[in-house]
Amino acid sequence: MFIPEERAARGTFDVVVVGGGHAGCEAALAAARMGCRTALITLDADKIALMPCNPSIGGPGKGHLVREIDALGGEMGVNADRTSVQIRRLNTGKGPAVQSIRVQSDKVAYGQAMRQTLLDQANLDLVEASVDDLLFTTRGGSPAVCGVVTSEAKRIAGDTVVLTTGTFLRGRIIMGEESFPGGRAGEFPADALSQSLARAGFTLGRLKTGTPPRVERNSIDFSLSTVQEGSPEPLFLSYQARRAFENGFHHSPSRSRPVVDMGRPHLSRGDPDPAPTDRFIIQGWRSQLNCFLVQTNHRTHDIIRDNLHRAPMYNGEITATGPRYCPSIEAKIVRFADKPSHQLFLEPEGWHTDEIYVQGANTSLPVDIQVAMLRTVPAMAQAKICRPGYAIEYDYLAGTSVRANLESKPIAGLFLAGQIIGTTGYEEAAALGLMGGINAARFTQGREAVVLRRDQAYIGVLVDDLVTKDLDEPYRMHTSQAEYRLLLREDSAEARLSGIGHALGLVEDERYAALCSELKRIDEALEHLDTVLLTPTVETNRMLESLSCKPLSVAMSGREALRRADITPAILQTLGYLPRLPEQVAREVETSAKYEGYISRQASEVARLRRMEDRPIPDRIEYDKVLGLRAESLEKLRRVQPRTIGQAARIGGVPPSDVALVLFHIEKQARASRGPNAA
Amino acid sequence: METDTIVAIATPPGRGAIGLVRLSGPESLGVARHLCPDVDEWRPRFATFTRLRDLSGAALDEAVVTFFAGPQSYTGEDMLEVSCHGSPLVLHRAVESALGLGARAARPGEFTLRAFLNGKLDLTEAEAIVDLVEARTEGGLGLALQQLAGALSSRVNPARGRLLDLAAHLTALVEFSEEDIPDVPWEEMRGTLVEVRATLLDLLAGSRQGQVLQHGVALVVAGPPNAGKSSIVNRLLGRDRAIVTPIPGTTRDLLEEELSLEGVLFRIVDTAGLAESRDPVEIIGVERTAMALDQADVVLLVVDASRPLTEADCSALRTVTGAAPAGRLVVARNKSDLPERVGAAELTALAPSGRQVRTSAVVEGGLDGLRTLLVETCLEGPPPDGFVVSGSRHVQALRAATEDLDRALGALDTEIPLDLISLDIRSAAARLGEITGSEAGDEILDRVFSRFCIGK
Repeated sequence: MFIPEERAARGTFDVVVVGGGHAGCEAALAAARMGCRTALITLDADKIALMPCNPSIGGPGKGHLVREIDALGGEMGVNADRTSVQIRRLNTGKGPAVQSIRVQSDKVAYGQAMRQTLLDQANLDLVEASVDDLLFTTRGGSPAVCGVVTSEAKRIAGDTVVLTTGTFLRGRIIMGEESFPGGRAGEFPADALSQSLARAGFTLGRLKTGTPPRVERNSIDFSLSTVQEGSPEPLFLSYQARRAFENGFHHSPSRSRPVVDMGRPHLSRGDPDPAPTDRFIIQGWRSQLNCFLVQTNHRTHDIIRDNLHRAPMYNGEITATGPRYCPSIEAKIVRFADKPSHQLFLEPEGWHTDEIYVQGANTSLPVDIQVAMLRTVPAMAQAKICRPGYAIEYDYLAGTSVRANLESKPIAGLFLAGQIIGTTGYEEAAALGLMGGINAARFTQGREAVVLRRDQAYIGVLVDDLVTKDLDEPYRMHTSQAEYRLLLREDSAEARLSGIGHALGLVEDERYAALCSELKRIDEALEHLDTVLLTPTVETNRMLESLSCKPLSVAMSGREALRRADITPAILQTLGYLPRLPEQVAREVETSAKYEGYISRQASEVARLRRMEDRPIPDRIEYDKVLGLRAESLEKLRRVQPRTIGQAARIGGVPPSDVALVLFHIEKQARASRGPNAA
Repeated sequence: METDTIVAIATPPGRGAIGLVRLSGPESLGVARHLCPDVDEWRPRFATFTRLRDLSGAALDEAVVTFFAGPQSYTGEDMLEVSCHGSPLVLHRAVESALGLGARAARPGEFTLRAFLNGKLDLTEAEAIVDLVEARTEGGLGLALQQLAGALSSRVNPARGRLLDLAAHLTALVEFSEEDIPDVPWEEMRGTLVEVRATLLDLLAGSRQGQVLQHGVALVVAGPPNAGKSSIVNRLLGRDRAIVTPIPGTTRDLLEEELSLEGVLFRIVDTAGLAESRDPVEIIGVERTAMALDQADVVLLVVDASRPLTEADCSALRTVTGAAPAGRLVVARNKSDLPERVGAAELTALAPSGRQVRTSAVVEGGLDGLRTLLVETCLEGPPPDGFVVSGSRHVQALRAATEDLDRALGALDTEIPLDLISLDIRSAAARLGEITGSEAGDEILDRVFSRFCIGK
């Protein structure tokens, strides 16, 4: 709906966030914490931060994002730690860049805890409503957003709007022969808003995703599965949980307000724990639930193959693109016909629910086939499905509809984050939500946008890929997308980003000071290691051998010794060459020493390309005035509107020579505007 | 300021009695100190006459070297200019030595680009660069050049593909660590790296392909004495290079020149005439000619068609024809400005594999036809082993890829984690992509998803 400029009142809110999923929560919290009057509008306030798919957060690439969100003062890591039922570190031993933490969270507790955080947040109003339309006006002659209209025709005025609508835009759920409108299982879609965006001139595309069935715990025979236990070592996604643990508060909720007690397993029915492997394990540092692994077999595959004509993916019912890394079980059977068996992970969805998520069985087959196929797996011979799997199609806007600050190109003040701009995954959504919230707040404050670089954060890679490349499937974060991933380690997230979070007012002084002193300790420890000398004395070598390390043959500095694969900071501590260090500091000292050569090579590559990266392209550049540009390059440059020469160089199909032409054009314009005498 | 130091031969290939090698970047002075260890003091903007040495300390040439301290230089950075004799070999060695000291081969127009970025060029000059950049785009390249690039790509691509497959497998293992993806057997990984490395080394050094790669197509000009070989070479080069006299046997030594025809870089070896002789100097010359023929990619046989062939001429013709690689013989019936005494049929009988063209060095007749024929002969049929257009850039990419593989292989023998090894493998694949003109980023994930069943 258009409102003339003179009648467009200043907003009741600075920032209006539409959608209460992972992106919306981060956006609203960030904006409110930055001092903006913020509203979070959601269809159902009981479904805040819902995890409609895996009850899992983190893993390679994704865990990196969560650590970065945390370092910038976001909420996802804190909330996941607070509600975790199992936590593990993946890829240990495969290299410092790809190690990552993954948390299985209690699905119900996760949503409740996040909801409570929103309610407790100053400057933030939680509004339950359906948004049907956007309010537009003109500011300084250009189109700008000025609020939203709800389905009850109520206007909510806001200076900026952040859309984080997930799969709700014209969502359609498909399950076998059935299909019906829906934003998620059991929820209405947002059809009117989708039409409103189309009217505003956005081009909408269609994507697809899906989820597997949930099975009742009591219908599974876990003795026929392989147990996967959580980490016996303390692990955390968030600074807050780590600090609380270090201060001795092992199980206590980290804030002084009612949150779900996540530390204790549910045993209220008084049933004796059937087998120690079934339910939970209590470790020294906390209690956790187990996950379980089972395998499909040829009977499973036969049932699926025999019923492909009833699979929407294969009978033409679904045409939208789904993510390749999240294929349905029917797609796996078709594409990898030779594979005799596929893994299925059975993951508990929380302390207080008996629902088990069947990871690997993502499907849109009819419910009767879902039951039949699961029952071919011995552990699930009696399986009862409590929620069937389904596929969902939804509208999205190409990532190139937004700038690097996530503000839409055609309409000022309108920000987009999460699945609405083509990502998949809670972590990707949360990362974009956080940046969208930060930049909406900056916009209302009249301050410069915050855009992270590719060598600075996975968030930078995520945003840059979205706004630069032509993507044809939902975007998921992988470590292989980060060309400087050795610099972007999970463990370095704090060091890379907390300064920014602090400057934005999202990271408290105390936490920032603690980080700075931690970084200082890392440097001091490394300097100290340079000054100590290990000599191959009989005594030293005897001690090394007793710690199952190879003896020394020549003298070496402490740092050189740490480069050896078998020597860890703990061993140097035992030998008396290194003072006792906190776990986090010791890990960083070890990584810095062991992989110094690899890390510095990436750092020098960054420095080499930095110059192009830092060279801005003016907003008002007219590409058709750039002499000699090829037609294809012209079209792509116009659509992507790169911010820097570096970004222009990353657009697929724009050759370096055309980027050089743009560079010369900019310089020519700059010189011309400086006047005829300034050659 | 840029952080790396670039190097290039600044004079056009195959021209000029003086050759110029230029460096720009922070390491310019460091490289200078290694290449010219005899210079005690490097005063900016002072030309110094000294001896130029390669990495082993062996003298390459005498040279005039000048150091420019940034920003008072063409590019605005520290620069070094080395002027030496114009021999392509000396220039190549000087560049290689600089590469060995950590410099990087400059991309086309890169010195000027740096000058521009550092604010050292005015608008007019910048526009000239735009023209230059345009000329360098694919559209501006001759068909010949593209075909030649294709020849190298066809050798590099399979090697790159194997590295990408390996990288994809390693990526799948770390990206989807919980999927049941089989490990890469250590032996298999090692085997792949060793084989790819051997392929690259084969392309790069020692082998004949390596030689050709660095120096272009070896074109040997041969024929009986005083057939006008040197005159033809001079006309092709557009200037007097070889000493030409009417006395047979003037060219006693091999003369080497570089010539770019339609983007193909020819390394021209002008030989002494093949005749039986008692003059010891000439005998050595004839032996060298035989050696040159042995190394030739293409042979240009020049025959004086204005006088009947002698028995000695026929013998020389048979020698050359026999030594020329199959399908790579061009016969110039020279001196077409004079009445013809040797016909096409007679030459066809003596040199059946040769393609003929009439030429005259005196009135410059038939030279365009000769140029076309030379390029066509290079491009027809299977290309000569691994030859390419511009040596240094490709050589450097191959060398960098080999270094990445060396590091990966070294790491395999230690306990360096898998992911770090995969970084070097990806880097090697990316270097090879610079030759084939393709980027690896998305291709690796594409391979992961097509080869491994992944997903929750």
